[in-house]
Amino acid sequence: MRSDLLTIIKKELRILKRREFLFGILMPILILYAIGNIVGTGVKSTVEEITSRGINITVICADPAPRNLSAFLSVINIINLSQNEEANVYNITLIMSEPVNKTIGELWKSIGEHNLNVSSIIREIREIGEVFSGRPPEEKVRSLLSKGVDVVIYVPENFTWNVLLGKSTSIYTYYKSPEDPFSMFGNIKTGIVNNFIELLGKTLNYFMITRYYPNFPPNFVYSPIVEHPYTYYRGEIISGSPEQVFGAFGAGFIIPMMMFLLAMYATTTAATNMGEEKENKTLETLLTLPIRRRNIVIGKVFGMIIVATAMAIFYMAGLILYMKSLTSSVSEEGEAISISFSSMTNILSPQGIILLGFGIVLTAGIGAMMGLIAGAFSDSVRTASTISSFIIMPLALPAFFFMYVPITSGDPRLYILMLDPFMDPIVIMKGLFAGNIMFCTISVAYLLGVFFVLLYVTASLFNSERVILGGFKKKKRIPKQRFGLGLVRIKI
Amino acid sequence: MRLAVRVKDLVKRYKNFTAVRGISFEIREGEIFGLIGPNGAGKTTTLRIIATLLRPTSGEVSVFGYDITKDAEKIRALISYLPEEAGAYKDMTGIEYLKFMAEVYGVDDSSALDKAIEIADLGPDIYNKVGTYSKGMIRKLLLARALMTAPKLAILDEPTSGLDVINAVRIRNIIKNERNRGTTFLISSHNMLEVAYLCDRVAIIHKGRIFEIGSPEELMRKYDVDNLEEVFQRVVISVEE
Repeated sequence: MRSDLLTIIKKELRILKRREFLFGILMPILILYAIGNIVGTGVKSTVEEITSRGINITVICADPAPRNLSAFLSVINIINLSQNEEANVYNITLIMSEPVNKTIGELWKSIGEHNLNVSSIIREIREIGEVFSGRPPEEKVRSLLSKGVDVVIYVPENFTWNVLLGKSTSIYTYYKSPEDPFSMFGNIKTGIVNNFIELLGKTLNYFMITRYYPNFPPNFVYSPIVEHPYTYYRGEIISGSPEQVFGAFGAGFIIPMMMFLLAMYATTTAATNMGEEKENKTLETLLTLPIRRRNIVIGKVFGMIIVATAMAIFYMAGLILYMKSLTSSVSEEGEAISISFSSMTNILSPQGIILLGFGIVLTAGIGAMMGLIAGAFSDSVRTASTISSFIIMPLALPAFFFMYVPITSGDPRLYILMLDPFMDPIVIMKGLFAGNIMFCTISVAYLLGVFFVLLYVTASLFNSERVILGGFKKKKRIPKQRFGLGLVRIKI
Repeated sequence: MRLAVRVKDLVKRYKNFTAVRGISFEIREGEIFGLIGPNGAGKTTTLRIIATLLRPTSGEVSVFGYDITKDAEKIRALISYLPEEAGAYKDMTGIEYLKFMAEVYGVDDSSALDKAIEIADLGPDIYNKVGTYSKGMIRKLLLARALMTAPKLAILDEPTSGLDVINAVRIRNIIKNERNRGTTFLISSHNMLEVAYLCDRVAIIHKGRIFEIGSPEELMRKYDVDNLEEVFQRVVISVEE
């Protein structure tokens, strides 16, 4: 009996050697990796291009405060002096309003210590001598943006006055639309400009604080808090925020996705395998061989479990490669994952991890048996794939529910989802993280029950003649007999 | 002589159609028995039932004393079935396929594999993938598979279908040799020449009923004709009338 099983498993595993299988596995990985690299490289080269060319910003300053006392110009000047590397992409052109309000100028005299003419970390600040007058600025903005300016910042006349009064103050930004508005790279430039606006706000904070609290060190003002996060988890203190600790386990994305893929591959591979046996006329011979029908089913199921697990692992590897190549921060991500894995494995119970592995294998087996049943009722690979898709979709799709709905191990909704065997590995994982081994055990016991019921059903099906006769066949269309022009049927 | 197959009042009914209507016949051990009849006569259904693939609606079928419904697993260890439209695993080479079958039957000695290679007569193509084989090459491989383990009963549905004349003659001779070594054969064929040459006895089946059983010579004498083809024709026409 044991050798029967091994022979059948070996036969099923020959799928792994097929060129189409290897192609089917390697292609998506390569495609995902290539897309990740293309996108990552595209982003990188766009950033590099922007960095080398710089962002052309023209500031229309309608604020009438004298230039050495203007709050906006002081902020620009501080950015210059701060040696902020990020600022080294901006080419700033100033169009000033004629200073008229000497009273405000007087009030700001004490803070006008920054000089615009010092050497600048901002790539270039130039004053073009043009004087802005009149509102609204749209006409001027149109003319500037059509002549190579990337963004125009309009500083209204009450800017310094509002700062003086401690009121929030506005600026207006006019962005030039990217050449291809649907290109993801077009938005990168906008993002870099946004950084500049953020920098303006941050520097304005600095400006105000250093004005009123001159003894504060500037670094404190820029980064007053440096966080060192820890997570309290089941009595243990783990280094890292919950996002860092649990993110690597993909509680929100990777595990549900992997379950979806595993269920899908196990079911469709088994259904296709049965469809092939029927289409290639090998099933009849197989069923008359001196192998117990139950062993044929078990052999096929185990073969499919191994094939499906291999496929799911390869696809997830491809997905991770994609994400890593996309984020272009491979080392940081990799480090985060290894830290959390090593810290978590100390806390998660070994029994729980074994139960999770067992649950995943059982789920793949259940999927494989569903596929075999679908294949038994079909007469070709095509019909088998269609039937298996109808089975798998409603059962595997709730995996995505877990991505968006927070469900704890005590939540009654979890018990409903537990009834779907494809969801149980996710349920077991939740139990494992909650330290609820009993919950994991119940889930595995349920899966075992479903597995054996399905094994009985599938073996019975293989023992019956239904597996030979099939169930769903495409009905041949018999064209209606027509007489003459096909309009009238005359009985003589 | 011991009975290899015993079929009594066998009926097989599908949903809206009765394929076999109460047939009875016996096959003696060491005999080559032919089941002949026109298309849709119920030949393949009968063979499939004896091969344990289908279950009888009523009646009794036993193979070497084992009941087809109760002892199907024991029967499968004794028989070898070659369906009319059989295939082999396309991603295996011919030799891998034969090794797989030898493993299934628990045949360890290399003589069985050598015998299969000889019957298949595929030359160096035995090391190529089955997917590259012609229909005739696959048929030869499958015949080799069916006979390599020296089964007690070989059920062959149209054994030489798709083979050229030279290969068909060779296979017929192999079947005769295997019978001499102790294998009982149940053969279904449309080729009356083949049946007359090979079979010790034949049963003529039409519309799910057996109308004649006997040796080709007996039947030819009974109908006073020179060949089995004419016997067949007369039986079918008389049933139609």
